Amino acid sequence: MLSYLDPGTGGMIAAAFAGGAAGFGVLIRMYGHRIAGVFSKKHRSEAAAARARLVGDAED
Amino acid sequence: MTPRTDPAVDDAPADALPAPDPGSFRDPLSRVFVQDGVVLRALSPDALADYRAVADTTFFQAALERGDVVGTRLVDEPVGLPGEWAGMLRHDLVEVLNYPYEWSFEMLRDAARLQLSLARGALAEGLITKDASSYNVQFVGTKPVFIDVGSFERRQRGQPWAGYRQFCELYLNPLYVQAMRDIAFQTLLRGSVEGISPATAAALLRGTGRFQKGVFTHVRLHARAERRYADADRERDVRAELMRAGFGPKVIDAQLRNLERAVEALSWKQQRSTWSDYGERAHYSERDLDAKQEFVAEAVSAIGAPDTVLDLGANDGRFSRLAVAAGARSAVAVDSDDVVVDRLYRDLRADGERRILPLVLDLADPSPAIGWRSRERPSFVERIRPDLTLCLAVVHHLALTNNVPLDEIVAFLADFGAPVVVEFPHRHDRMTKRLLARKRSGLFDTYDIPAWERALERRFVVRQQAVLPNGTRTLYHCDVR
Repeated sequence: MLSYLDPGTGGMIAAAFAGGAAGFGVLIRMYGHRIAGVFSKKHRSEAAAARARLVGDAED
Repeated sequence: MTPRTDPAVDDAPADALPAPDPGSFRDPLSRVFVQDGVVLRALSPDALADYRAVADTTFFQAALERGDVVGTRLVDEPVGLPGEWAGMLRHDLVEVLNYPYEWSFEMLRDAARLQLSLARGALAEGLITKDASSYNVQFVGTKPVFIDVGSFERRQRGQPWAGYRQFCELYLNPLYVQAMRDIAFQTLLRGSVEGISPATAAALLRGTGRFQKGVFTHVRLHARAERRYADADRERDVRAELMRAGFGPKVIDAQLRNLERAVEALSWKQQRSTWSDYGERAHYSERDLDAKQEFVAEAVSAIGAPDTVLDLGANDGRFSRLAVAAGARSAVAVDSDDVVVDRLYRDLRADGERRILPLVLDLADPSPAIGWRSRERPSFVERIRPDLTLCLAVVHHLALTNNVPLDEIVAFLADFGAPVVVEFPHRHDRMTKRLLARKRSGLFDTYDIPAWERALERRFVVRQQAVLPNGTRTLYHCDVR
């Protein structure tokens, strides 16, 4: 669910950097999720659910 | 997003319901309708819920009281507007619409401050602005006013601030470009309704600003990240991952604070421009100036209390100030020199004079209509309906510097549809002589009083005229034919 302006991936990463230390935390958490996803099926399914909420069916 | 019936587009027959404002279509959740000076904002169910949420907050009420947000109230009984809407707001009318490409540096900075402070206020109470366009701010006199009440929405969990890029494009990058490179942002903003993209700003600022606050993050890194992830959505949905990792209010507030600091840290070395010293009016004698002021004051009082006086070539704003002192409710002071307009804005702001709106406008090339179908942002002439136009110490420049024929100058004045006070410097005026000396002799033989008066009388009826004591300039007060 996004507003009518689409921030875009690059824009979101830039926004995280613009958030200073707090923003950096977002990136750390994101990479944390990625690493966890390699080892845990539960994490992978959670990630898929998050994607689905954002863009509908992620496998399109 | 709730599906919504499309409202009729603005090609509807004239006797039908009011057409939506051509500048309000970008956010599908609401549309603005303006008719007979009444401004209505139609809201979808989602937008109505967002409005109810924002109307309940303390920051919004405080901003309304300060006049930082345009006067807004919920209409009890929505009147018939094209489309199906859940609710309707009525806004106070902004008399003279003005756009960022007509503002000076300090005006854009003040608008940026307002945008950021509202976004932070909203954030603290669980809301956010869904965009950050400088077109959401209007100057009413010297006061920046946020007009896009539809911009506030309830914040979704994990969602980043969608306005970040737009803030950079339409506020921060123009300010950087002006402060660091002395490139006038007005022409760039006029050239693109989207503003200055991160990539363009990075190119313009290349090799500079190593120590300028925020340039590295908001310009370079921003441009780089966009380039790097331009095609990332296909290979991996980083966006979903980022939202899952969560942009909390703390991150967004830190981002907004960083932007505030970047905006405050800017300083623009204003160079002395050709016109900066004009305010001293070296080539006017005291007697001439007094006579001129008296003439203008009389023209203003002849109308009673005009709503708007348009001052073309306003320079230090002396005659705009005179107009409001003589009873005008407001004045719009335009000048092509952005340094002069910036100085005037800061002077007026310091004096607490709110009735005068200073704008950057080149009379020989006034703001055209831009944006979608060339209708989104109308031209300057379409936006202003003055009750009196002042055109002092301008005609000889238009005629002899810009080579505009006299009858064209008169036609331009007539476009505003209002009585005019216009000054015509004769051929033997000192300034005119200086301008003529640059031209091949004989080229401007038609620049004389009889030719001017013939042109003037085709479109106007001269009510009163007076030669200034020095004998080299004539003032005319005329009504449109």
